Amino acid sequence: MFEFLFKYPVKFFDQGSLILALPGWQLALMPVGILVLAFIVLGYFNLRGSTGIRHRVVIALLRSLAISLVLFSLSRPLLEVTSQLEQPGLIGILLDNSVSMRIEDFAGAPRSRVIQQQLDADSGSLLRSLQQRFEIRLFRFGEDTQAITGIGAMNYDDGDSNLVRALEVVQQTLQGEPLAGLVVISDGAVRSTAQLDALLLSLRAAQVPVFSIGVGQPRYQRDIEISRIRLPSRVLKGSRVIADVAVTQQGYNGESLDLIVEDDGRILQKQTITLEPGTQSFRIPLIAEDSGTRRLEFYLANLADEQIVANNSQQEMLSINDDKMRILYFEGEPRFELKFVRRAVEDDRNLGVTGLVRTADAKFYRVGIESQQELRDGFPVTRKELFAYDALILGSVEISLLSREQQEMIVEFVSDRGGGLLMLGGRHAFSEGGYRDSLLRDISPVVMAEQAQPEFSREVKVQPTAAALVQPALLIADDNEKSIARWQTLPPLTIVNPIQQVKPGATLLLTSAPQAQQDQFVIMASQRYGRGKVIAFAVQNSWNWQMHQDIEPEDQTHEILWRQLLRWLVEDVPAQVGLSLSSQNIHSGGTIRLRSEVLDFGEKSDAPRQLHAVLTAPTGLEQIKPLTPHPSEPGVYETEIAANDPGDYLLHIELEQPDKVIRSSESRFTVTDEGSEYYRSEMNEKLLRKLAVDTGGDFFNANEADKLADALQAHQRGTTTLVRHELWDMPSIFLLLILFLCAEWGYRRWCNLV
Amino acid sequence: MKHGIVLFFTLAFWQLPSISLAESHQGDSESESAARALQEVPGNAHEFYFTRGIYSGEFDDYDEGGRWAIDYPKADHQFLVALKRLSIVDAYGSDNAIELTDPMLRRFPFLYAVEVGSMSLSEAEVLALRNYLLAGGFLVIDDFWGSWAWDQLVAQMQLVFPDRAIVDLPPEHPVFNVFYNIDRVIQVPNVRQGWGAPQGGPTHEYDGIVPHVRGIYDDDGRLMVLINWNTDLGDAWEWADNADYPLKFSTYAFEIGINFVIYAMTH
Repeated sequence: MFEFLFKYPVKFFDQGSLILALPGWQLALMPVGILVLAFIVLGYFNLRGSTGIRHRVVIALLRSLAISLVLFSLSRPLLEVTSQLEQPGLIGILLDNSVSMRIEDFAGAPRSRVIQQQLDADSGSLLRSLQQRFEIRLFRFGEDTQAITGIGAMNYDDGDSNLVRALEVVQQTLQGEPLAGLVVISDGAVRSTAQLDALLLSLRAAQVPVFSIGVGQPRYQRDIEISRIRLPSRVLKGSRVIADVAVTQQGYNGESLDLIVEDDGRILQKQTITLEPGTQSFRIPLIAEDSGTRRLEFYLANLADEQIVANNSQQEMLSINDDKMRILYFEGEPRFELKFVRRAVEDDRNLGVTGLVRTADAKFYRVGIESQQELRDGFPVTRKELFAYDALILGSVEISLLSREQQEMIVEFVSDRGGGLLMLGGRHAFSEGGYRDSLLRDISPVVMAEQAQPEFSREVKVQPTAAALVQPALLIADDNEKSIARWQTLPPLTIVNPIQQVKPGATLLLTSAPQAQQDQFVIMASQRYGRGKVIAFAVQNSWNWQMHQDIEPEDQTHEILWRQLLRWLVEDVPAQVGLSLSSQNIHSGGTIRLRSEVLDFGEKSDAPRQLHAVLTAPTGLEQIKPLTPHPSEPGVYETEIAANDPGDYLLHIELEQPDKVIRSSESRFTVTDEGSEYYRSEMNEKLLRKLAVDTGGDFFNANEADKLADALQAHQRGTTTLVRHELWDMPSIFLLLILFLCAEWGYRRWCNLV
Repeated sequence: MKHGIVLFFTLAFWQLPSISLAESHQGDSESESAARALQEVPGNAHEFYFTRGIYSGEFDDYDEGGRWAIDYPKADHQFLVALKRLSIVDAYGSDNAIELTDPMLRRFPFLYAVEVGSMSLSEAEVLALRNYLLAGGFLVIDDFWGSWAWDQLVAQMQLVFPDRAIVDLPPEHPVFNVFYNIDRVIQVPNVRQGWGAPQGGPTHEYDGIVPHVRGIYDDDGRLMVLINWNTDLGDAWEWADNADYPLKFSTYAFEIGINFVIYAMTH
């Protein structure tokens, strides 16, 4: 409306200044005009007759306003705006070439239609108006960025829209040119915005505004999507896994449908969900049954009238480890806890618990050893010996039983080796065992009491916290509800370590049911420490959950808890040769970055390591590629691998040593033709607007694209000049003139003065 | 029952076992002691309780308290002195006798029972003992002699576990080296025969010539019941302070007894 009345955008009036371009000779006529005006006004007052003074004032005023408008127009009013015209500026236009531009939500046509309409060499209206004022360079961006000569080069086939990289590349390409601005035509549906803020800061500093044109609907009318899946990257075979699945929907409130999880065509889990507005999170319990890198597919049924059905399913890799993880359980005195923990997990072929128990002064008994040499001299005194284990359980072991060097080793075992540490309660544990003044105090997730209370002993009921309800290790029945009910019916345990506080950053998982105010004790807490994990489980007789008279002999709660607890303790312990991938799904032709961290396991060596990746393509072709050391991270090696053939790729790392080759666990990634472009594919106006606002540009919807040329021109940049815009022919002037004349005429009629 | 009658007449007319019974069995006072122990034991103050099983027996009426209480409580006390002296087991220092049907039994994963030749378990005791052992409890049986007592034990154990065999423990079984290295299973005689052993007297009772250490395993190969047949560790503990009782028997009895405890706490 504003532009209709005043011819130009409001920005022109904000930035520009109003001047009267009346030539000198005409200027001399201005007093004449004013005199004429005064004469007319006086004439009205000097008229004879019965017309009252009030009528004369009104009529004179309206007539004067009309004449003033004419005089104003005659004086040639101009709006003076700073702009660039003398030297045509350069505009870089970035066109989204990703698959999501094929989505048909632009008035029933694909999003790419906007590009066709605006930038076609023959009929593109935007292109034409821009070419009149600027020099144009076109780029298409997707997984990579390329300069193009026309939109004929667009194929909307890229599986990813790397917008940040595209802006960076175009800015660098056009460096040194009189760049007036960048134009992005995209749906903004990008997967990663890492480094975006830094890039926008750089564009702003270089005075390169970004003008974005958003295509597509900011919100679908009817669609359902699996928008996120969270799974642990690595678990032990047979472990209970909780998949956190986020489902986003519009238009299907209250509908119920099945969320299904499949592994290689076999249904692992099926859960009926009821849809609520927005995004919901569902916890799907799974059992990691088959070893290897499994590709789990999560999918929903297609619903009627969905905008996109390709986003109803999503795949996620889960590495299921079938190794036997080794756990050293050290007890400072014979305790039934050792017997029952070993008993609980002895059927678990992925857990091997070796017991070392002091039975008399300086006398130890070993149980579950793999060789006669193992632990022959008691608790390990070398890193190599200790680091051979994946986790350590400390029972009722007074701290004086561990030398300072052994304490240091335990700290390094957790922080550097990435091992798990489980600290059990007992009469010689925590403060009661002197740990408050030890090196292990720092890695403990609980705050140890200043004063030991050797006489303290209390039977307590154990209750899970809210955090425990999302911890798979503490899910002791088939589902959450049953698990909560089981926790409530478990018999009490004895605590002899009155712990009442966890450290900042630690997670409180189990507490005693409060018997009185200020009388709640910490039963279980956990925290990460360096690469590893520390869990405090401050009870001295968890075996009561196996032996208590209320527990049936066939009850498996104690076994389930300990198996899950120890699996949780060890399942993310890094292997000596680690492997991680930058992504699990890439688009055909894309590259994947792999990173391997090699741990020394207590054997320091300065000799260069030889690592290579072994990649098996879906065709069965094997490719070997060496890894190079990371420039700033010791022990880390990296490389990039390109993959073209769609399908699953298997990958592992081999570390060559003089006497053996150490293999990493196997990983897997998938190459697809579509990538992830159909997820979160609604037009991301927030992102596109941010590009514009943070760089001083403007955001337009696709149907406002014709305003872009003026906006670009109005923007001050580079070699500028003053552009004057005529205002005399603004529709608002003529409308006002007609209004005043009609008002005068109407007034006369109304007052019978005609 | 037949074996029980034989035992009754044997005890009545053969003095050796009766000496042992007369000198250690304190009748009502022992039952009261067991009841008192049950009340006094908090169950959690210590890691280990030397728990003696009170079971129904064929001669309970005649024995004024039951044959479960043979050598009780002195044997228990003296064994605990040795256990605490020689190991660092956090053991409750007194006796702890408990009926098999008492729910508190499940708080004590180690159970000791003697004179099982007279054992005659009620249905409730059978169920309680079965559940106790399957849950993880460990039973050590001691001081019963000869084939008739063996047959009685087998009959009682078949009530508890109808399909489980009783097998000899091999010499390399961990129970023989968990704390002390026991190279050879020897026969530990009762006190009277122990006095005569240095002079070449017999160490056995009835036809129990050869001592055995046998066991019953669960489905996962875990030892649940440990059976000392044709030997009397309890008498050796009880009479360890007697100058005439040979040291080698009491030493052996303490060693293997401590092994049983450490084994029960680690396996």
